[in-house]
Amino acid sequence: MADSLVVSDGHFVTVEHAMLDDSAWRLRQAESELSACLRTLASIDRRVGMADLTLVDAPLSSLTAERAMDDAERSLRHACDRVTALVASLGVASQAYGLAERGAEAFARQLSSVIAFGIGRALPLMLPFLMPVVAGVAGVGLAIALSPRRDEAMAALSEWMLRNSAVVSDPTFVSILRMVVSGIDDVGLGAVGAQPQLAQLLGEEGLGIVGLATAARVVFGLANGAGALQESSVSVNRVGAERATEAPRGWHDRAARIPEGEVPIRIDRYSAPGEADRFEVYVAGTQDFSPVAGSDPFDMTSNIAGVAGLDSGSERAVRQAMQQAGIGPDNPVVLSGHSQGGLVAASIAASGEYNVTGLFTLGAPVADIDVPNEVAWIAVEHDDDMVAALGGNWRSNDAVVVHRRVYDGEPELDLFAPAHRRDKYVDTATLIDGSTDRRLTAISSHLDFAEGTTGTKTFYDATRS
Amino acid sequence: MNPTDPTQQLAGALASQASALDRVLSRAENAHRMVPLSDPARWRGPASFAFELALQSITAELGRAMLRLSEAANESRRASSGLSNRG
Repeated sequence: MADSLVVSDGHFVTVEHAMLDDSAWRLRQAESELSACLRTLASIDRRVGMADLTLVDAPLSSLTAERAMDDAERSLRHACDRVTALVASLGVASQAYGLAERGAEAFARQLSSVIAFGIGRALPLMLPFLMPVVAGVAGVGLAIALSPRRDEAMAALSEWMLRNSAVVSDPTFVSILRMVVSGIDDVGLGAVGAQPQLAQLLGEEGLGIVGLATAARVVFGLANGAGALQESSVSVNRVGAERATEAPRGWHDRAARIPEGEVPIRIDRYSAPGEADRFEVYVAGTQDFSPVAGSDPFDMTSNIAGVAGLDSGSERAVRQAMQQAGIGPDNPVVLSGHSQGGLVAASIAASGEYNVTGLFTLGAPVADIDVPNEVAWIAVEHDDDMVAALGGNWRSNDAVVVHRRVYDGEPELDLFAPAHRRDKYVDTATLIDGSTDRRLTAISSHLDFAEGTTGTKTFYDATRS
Repeated sequence: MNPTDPTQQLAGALASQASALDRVLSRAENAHRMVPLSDPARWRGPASFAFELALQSITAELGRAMLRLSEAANESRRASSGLSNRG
């Protein structure tokens, strides 16, 4: 399982009907080859007949050849008929699995929505009991954030998170988390006393007017009031000189070029005579996990602002870097990002302000983002990575979503959320390069560079002021 | 060697038959490569068994066909060279 990919349109997959489609496609190719074999064999048979062989007293070997040809034709015909029947069965099976999965998924979403709404309805009654717990958790969070011994407190929190790493890396936990995140809007609608029908209409399962972004905005607003998650202006500086680089030769190269560490943005430019310059933009993930904004805009504040659909510091930083790099509305751009970097990349692609031809998001909570369907989008999510699940259920059918479970057994317990690490996503990108899935190969060839293309790479640092 | 001699004409036709059979064999090998492998890790239950059986039966028929095609090509070549030697 650790080396196999499941490719879907973002919806829940229990039976890999994409694999059925792939098998059917291969069998159709085999069927076409076999039909050609039979046609050629028939034409050969007409060229040399039994009568000719008898007429000239041909050697026995020519008669043996005739019999062998007859046998071969019979076997080829049987094989061809069986392939045709299997292709038809696979088509029916794939459609049936697809329908069953969609039905089961719709049912699960509606059910979780109803349960979440019920919890929201009961919330005012439970408030006297929940208030001390909520206040306690919020108090501890704020105390950690504002304490002069913040580093020690954060270290203790990290240690606690490491001890619980196995739980958060469990694919079942990740699936439940995705459902819970998607139901947050229903809890809110229930809590404010909305009618169930109205909640259904407004929520993600209805018109999608109220959803995960709304819930994130509420969290953002409440935290703002308490002095946390406060946005600020950002500035971007080029780091070092422009250097030569080769064009990426696939998804592994793109994933491996996403920066890690303190310099979060890389922009590559590729020029060809008579054409607008092409750009590849690579955006790093979260660098600062504190709920109180520091100097790095790739922080928790930008994370929540991004999920809320607000103007996050990290997105502004990437836009500024793109402007400094000379990316205009007509330049073809491919955006690649890991974690928060993927969220930023998807938000910029969704804005429609740039000519984004490709989007490659790795472990990013982007399921709720409505990216235009002309953008070729590959979203990679590890089944044991909770961060991607924080985007909730997939709304768009336009992303090609690649799933992989990184750990078959126990994850590495010395790391928190180890399946979220960028190097694990680089491994998955290598598997994507080797995949024969037609949706992936179509996007790959759409974004490929000519062999030997070279360009320049530039890094950008970003700071909150 | 007389090209209008029916024996020589047949020898030529058998030689061309052998080449055409080689081409058919190569396409049949292509078809064989396109037949997917059954992956029990992804299929479960009776569907896995039925799929595997269907693939086995196709592969077996293709194997037989390739064997017989190869035999037909070899025998055609042998017959062609036997007839040519008569001339």
